Amino acid sequence: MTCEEARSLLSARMDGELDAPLHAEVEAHVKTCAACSQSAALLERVSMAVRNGMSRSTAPQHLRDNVRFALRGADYLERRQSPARWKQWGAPAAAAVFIAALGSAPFLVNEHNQRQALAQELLSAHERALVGREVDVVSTDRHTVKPWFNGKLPFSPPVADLAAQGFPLIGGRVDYAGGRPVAALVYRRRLHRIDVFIWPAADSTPPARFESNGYHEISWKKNGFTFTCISDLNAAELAGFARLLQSQ
Amino acid sequence: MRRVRFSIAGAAAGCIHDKSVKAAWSSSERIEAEFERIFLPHLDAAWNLARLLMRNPQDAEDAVQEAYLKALRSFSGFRGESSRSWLLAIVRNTCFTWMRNNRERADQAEFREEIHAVPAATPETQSLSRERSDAVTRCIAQLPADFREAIVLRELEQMSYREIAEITGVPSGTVMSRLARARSRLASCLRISLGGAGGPVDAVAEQRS
Repeated sequence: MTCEEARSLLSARMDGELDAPLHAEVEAHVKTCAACSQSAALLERVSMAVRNGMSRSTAPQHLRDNVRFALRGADYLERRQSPARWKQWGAPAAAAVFIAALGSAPFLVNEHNQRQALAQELLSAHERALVGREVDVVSTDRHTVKPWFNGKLPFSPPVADLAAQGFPLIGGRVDYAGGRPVAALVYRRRLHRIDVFIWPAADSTPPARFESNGYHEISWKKNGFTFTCISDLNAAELAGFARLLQSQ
Repeated sequence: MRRVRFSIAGAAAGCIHDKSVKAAWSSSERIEAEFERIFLPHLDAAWNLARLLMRNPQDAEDAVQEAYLKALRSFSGFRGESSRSWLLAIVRNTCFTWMRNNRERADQAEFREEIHAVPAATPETQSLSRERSDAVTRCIAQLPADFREAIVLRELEQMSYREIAEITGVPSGTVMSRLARARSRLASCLRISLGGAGGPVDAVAEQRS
């Protein structure tokens, strides 16, 4: 075995990945060749250095939350659709939890309130648009809708084409919620309208999920944006729509 | 369509499968729970692979999140093989797709040190280990992406060549040569970074983190 051959195999030898005959051959060479023996020792040190120096880090908590949020996003509504389980425990449990939350973590309550308020604001925006100006740009073509936002928003919202899945795009508008401009994309399902509000995720916590007056709302974060879709469409179909958007 | 998918997923995951639509719907909850139970424990591995591949924490987070959604959608194709390998393959594919689509941005991306911060160093060891660990991180970040992933999977996840080959979709021989070349680059990079021969690499090697 030449030095060149041996050296190309030193890394695999260290990893124990050579078959027995080849391993024996390389061993025999390394024993008699000082240069290759040195190279082998250097490799060991490099590997050790990398193992010690390459820190394994724990995934940030917010990433863990976001992954759960995204995974459960669409099914969140469905689960809330069957309230039987918590209803039998009734108000005392809810009250206990609430009091515990009040006592130990007021900031949680505060955040909860903020999310509720934001959810309410988005619902108002949705309702306003139902009776008034639905869209500012009317187009079923996402290549028309997306550039329309240029200069009107400090970010460029992702615009998905879901016509093939039965959710044609109607258009878009700029709306306001939580004290900031947000992109509103409008989709249709049969006679139902779906508003999708999009804004940079860094700006805020996502709004709370809610059902109110026959409206459903569902939120998630993806690619640096917070998405909230609101519609009077039934919960299951809206959940399906949300999952379609999440998969874009 | 969704119902059908979950029914299949339910059968694949070994859940009790009822043909009635209602049962299929309620089983979706079990599928989600089953998915989380199997794959959330690998979140740290997914995160480490993504952050070392992408070299940018925001992109890495997006990639991990996207990979989990993809994995959930492909869950019916999961046959109970190594769940870590199965998930990491999706993570690296997501990362590579992103890097391909954003090549310009990725090339220009400044390497950010903060994402590689040593997490649990005690104050006494911090200053000493920090410099060495930074050198290692810097040198890994300079490797081409396919070398980088081979090194991460081997040295951090301690996977066999066969496992790495399965995840990265190349023959074991390619894994072998990538690792050999990556290590040889790391050797010279560490020497330069840590200022000359005769100890610096050893110093890093001897450090216990």
